[in-house]
Amino acid sequence: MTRILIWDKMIKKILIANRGEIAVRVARSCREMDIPSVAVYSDSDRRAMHVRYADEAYHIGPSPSRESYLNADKIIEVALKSGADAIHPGYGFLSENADFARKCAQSGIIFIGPNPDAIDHMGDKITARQTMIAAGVPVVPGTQQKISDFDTVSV
Amino acid sequence: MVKASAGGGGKGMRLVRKPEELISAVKMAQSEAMSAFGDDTVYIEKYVEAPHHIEFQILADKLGNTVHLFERECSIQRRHQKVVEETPSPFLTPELRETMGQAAVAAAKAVSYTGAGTIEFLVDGNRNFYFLEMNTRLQVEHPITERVTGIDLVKEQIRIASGLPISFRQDEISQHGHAVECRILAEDAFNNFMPSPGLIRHISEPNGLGIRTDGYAYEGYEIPIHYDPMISKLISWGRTREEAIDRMRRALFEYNITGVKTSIRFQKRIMEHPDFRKGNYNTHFIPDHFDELMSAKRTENPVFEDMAIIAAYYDFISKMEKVAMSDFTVTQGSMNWKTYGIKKNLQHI
Repeated sequence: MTRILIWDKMIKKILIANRGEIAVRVARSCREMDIPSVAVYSDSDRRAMHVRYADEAYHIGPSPSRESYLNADKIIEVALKSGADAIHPGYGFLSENADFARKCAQSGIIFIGPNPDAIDHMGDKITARQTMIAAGVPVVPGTQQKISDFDTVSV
Repeated sequence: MVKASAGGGGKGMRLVRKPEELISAVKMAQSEAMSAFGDDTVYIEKYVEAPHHIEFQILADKLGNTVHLFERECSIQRRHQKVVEETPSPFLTPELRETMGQAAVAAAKAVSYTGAGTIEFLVDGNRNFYFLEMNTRLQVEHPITERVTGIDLVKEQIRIASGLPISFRQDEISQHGHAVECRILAEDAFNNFMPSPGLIRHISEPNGLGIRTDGYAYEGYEIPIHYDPMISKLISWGRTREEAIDRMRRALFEYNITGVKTSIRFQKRIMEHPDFRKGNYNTHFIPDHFDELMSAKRTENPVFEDMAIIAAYYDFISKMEKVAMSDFTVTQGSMNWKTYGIKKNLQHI
């Protein structure tokens, strides 16, 4: 009974928006969980291991990352075409891109990662420092505001 | 230390030691930050001398549960790039681990974080710790945490994203044994760490008790020049730190890749370094011991090298002999034919 309930909620198919060892590593967990995995690849990754390992694979563009693994619109388009309901970004590439996380949500795709606001919040070091001080977490002593004029700097 | 607010990976950072250097450092950091991140906001932080880089793995689900999965010691770095990671950290005390774990959970809760994340801390020589930044993704070095806790972090990510609770409670996990990871890179450590992409002619990966390799390369695969040079991650586990390091040394010995240059030999030397073995190191380890790690001394057993030379020489000699023999047979053969022909002709006469 609980298994059926969990299966209802569980993600059904995952597109892995990455390459190399991490794409293979994510696909391994998908296989253990019986969740089909979708690989994406650039020109120079046609023969790559993650393409062979995943259940499906789609070509997304030329070799430079900007035109393939960083092409958010293309990746979301492939996710919709392949019927994936979630995207795992791995590390690097689009993994800490709040705009990509928002685009996923707008297309009805689950981004396997934090919510976009948390990414933005932690991506800005000054905001993150202020939040940590408020939460009682020690930070390296320093300025709490951005440096705007050189008079304050000289002090 | 002047730092870019949008920064990361060591970009947009300037160390200032004298007051008169400050203004020019701020200006330089600003222009570097502008070109790298499109945002010139910078701030100033106290420079922590010879710190440890210690990070805590956290998981938070959408139902309000936040847990930490202990630390990873990532102080073995070269130019802000991690080379070797281990857990547990040889530097932390149980009390400090507890306090930092709680701080990591508090940090994640402060931004209502969900999913897997990492809180990075700097820890100074007196064991004061400071929040450095949070990485809002799965990290390269996550397998060592998986190895000592037994938790599959990707599975937990998928569960959390599905809206399900984390599959365990904080008090149900502990650090079992010790794990070490080496990032095996396609680069020539002994030639200024030059990237070395290219065709993998032969690869045999280590195996056996306590070894995990997370890789993607195979024989005949060409590592593209377009992406990062990591070939695989080698993870060893042992009941004690010493056993995990010895096992890593053994695994690095077994790891054979030809066709591209790798970081394996460099990491072998780190595993053999007395200060690393004692757990006596911080983020200055590689710069401080650079000459020793780079020295021309032979770390391989010299007997093996001699044997390899003898085997190669023997192979060469036997091939030469074969060629010589076959030449000889050909001549002899033609001589036989000649003799036969002469005899035949004689018979005709």
